[in-house]
Amino acid sequence: MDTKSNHFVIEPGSWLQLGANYDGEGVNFAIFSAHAERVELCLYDPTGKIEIARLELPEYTHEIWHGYVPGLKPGTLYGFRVHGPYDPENGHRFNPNKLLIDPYAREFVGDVDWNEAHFAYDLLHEDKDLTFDERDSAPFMPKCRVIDPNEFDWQDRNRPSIAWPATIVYETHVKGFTQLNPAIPMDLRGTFEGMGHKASVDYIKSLGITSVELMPVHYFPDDQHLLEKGLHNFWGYNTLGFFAPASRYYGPKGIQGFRDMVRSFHDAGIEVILDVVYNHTAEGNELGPTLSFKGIDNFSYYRTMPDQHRYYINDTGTGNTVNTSHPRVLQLIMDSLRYWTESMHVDGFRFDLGTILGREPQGFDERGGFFDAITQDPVLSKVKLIGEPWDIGPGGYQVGGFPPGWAEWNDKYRDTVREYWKGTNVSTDFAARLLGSGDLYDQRGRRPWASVNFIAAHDGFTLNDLVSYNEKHNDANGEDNNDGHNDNRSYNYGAEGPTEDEGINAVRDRQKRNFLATLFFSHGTPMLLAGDEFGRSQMGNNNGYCQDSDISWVHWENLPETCEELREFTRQIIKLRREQPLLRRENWRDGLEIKWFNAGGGFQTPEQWDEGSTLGLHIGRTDLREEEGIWHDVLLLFNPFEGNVPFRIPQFGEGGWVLELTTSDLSKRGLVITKEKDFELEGRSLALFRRP
Amino acid sequence: MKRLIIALSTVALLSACSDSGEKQKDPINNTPPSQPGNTAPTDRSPSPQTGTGGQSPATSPSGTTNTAPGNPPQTGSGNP
Repeated sequence: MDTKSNHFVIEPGSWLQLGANYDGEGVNFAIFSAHAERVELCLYDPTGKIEIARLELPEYTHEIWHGYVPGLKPGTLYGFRVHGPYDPENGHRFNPNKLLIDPYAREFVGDVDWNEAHFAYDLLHEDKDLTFDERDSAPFMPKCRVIDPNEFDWQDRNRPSIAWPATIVYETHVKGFTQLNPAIPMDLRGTFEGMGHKASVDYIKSLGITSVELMPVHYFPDDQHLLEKGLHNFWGYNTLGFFAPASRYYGPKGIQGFRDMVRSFHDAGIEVILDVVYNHTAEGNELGPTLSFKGIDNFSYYRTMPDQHRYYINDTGTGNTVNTSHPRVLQLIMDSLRYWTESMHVDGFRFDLGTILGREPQGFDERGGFFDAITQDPVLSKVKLIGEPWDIGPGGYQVGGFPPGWAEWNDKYRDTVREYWKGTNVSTDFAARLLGSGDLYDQRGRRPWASVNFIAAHDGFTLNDLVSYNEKHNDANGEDNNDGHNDNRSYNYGAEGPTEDEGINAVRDRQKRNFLATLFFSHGTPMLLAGDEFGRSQMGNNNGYCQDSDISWVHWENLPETCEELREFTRQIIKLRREQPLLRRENWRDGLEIKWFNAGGGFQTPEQWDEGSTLGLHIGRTDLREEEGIWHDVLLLFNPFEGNVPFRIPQFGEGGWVLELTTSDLSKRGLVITKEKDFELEGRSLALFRRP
Repeated sequence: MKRLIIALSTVALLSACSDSGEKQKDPINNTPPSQPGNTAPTDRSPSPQTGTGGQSPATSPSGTTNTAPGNPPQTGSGNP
């Protein structure tokens, strides 16, 4: 039986494809809810303010509610109201007074306009979420928009498909990267189109980057508590729509701007990797708003406490945890990943709090449903998969614990390298990190590239601030400097923050070069935080999540000369890495010779490792092809201490050593040492010799 | 016999180059074993840099942080 409302007709349709899908003649709607009693589809006029029809989905098949509306076209705005029990103590929070967004919506119009009506309970009542609120939230909700899946012509261009061993990742933010760039037209700054603008792409290409990793671009609302303080969620780790680009980054072309951006990067041979946040949603805990999952089927979509279903398991620290153990929730994540891969042409994903996704009732399981689903998927198993291998729940620290096929952010690399150049004795650990962290990843066929090495990332100090501040300075975040991390392993070298002291600035500049050179001469996959190539500062703020402001935006103008020098240095070392196979090992058993020397020119002794010392590392391969410009031997010297060290250059094999660079004096390049001889390795410096 | 020796040598060589199986020492590698735990966070102190942003006040109406009063979060799923 057809149901009519305001001249619209709704037919049974199909349950097979979730979301709103246009077939050329109408739109099929399908939404999963195992516990709903009925579901209403609300259609809106083009302004999104007037409801023009309310149609009950007529069919329920395999826990999916569905219906088909003939004549509907792309551009139609819609939402759902879901009926069922409001029984928080048993995990159910249905409230049809709340307009809900479709978890499969491909696009949104409008934003969450915070209002008490968003809450399914009486905010002011002492019983909180055990009460029931009857106010309509629709005027304050964004509306879902039906899209035409065939509206964009990709022109059959090929994807870059960068091999993992050649990959160099650049972590950045669509708005932060473009907002202040004078080379980008004003109306494109802060948008996908600005990110895909020739000026952005050419710059990133000029650095030698192969893969851009964009901080969250899925649709997300601002947090109410931030808006009340005059702040905004800048980072975006607060997803509400897993299929929709964040409309805040739309330029004149709207959603097409995202695809244009991807195509621009691909044309330049650069991959696009998305930082994705499937571990929690913007709905918070039991006192949070009802925007989508919570009102559609709270008990299925979220993990609740085993004996108190009113409350959420909070392994994410954000109030809720997405229940990846449920097959339809797992399907949602897989469908989302495939959508971004196949329809939006992205090349990989970095999974925020990735441990969460592998949690099962007994805890983290690298053979859990999520990992199994990815591993067997013919599409997803071939894209780049990067885990943030931790969460705040028990057993959440899983560095080295992800399954084969995955790369991981390696925080041991970050912390060890920071400590080493600070002068703390971590020599043995430093040795392992430099060589690809085989202690973590040389197992089950995992390769050195599984270690994503980084010195700085969006979360924490920038590289410049790492060598300029002893303490965080997060006052602008409005939390009395209590937010952000206190364990930064940073050092200011004599003054907190910017200084006119030339000696201090010289040391800081050298340390930045030491960090960058270590990063790009280490085995594994290097990741550079955008702006670190020229010393971007956040003025000591190590938690810029709420700073949609000068603090987080990349500044491009009026930079001191030293910034340009550092940028050129970065380009130079990236070029070396790309050209020299010895600097980017592909395999643990490639015949590489690895010898560690002490400053006297002899092999490192156990005692010397224990004491901590200046280090010399020879890596060589005799089987590399005889080709002009390809090195067969590299000698890296490291001196993390303040004073100079005469380093006896060891001689073995044929030919002399040529100094390729030293971070203490960039003009020294080309020095040749043909016999055993001391090289004055300056304090806090790194030197790279090569042969031939 | 000569063929057998060649075959055995080939097997040995291939197995040395293999990327599977137990970890094998490189021909020359005097890298010491690392000492995990020296500097990196441990399970008790998971990497603090989670990427989820700052925390909202426990009383925030948007409820983005606090858990049930007196009920610390537990691992795993509470849902059947």
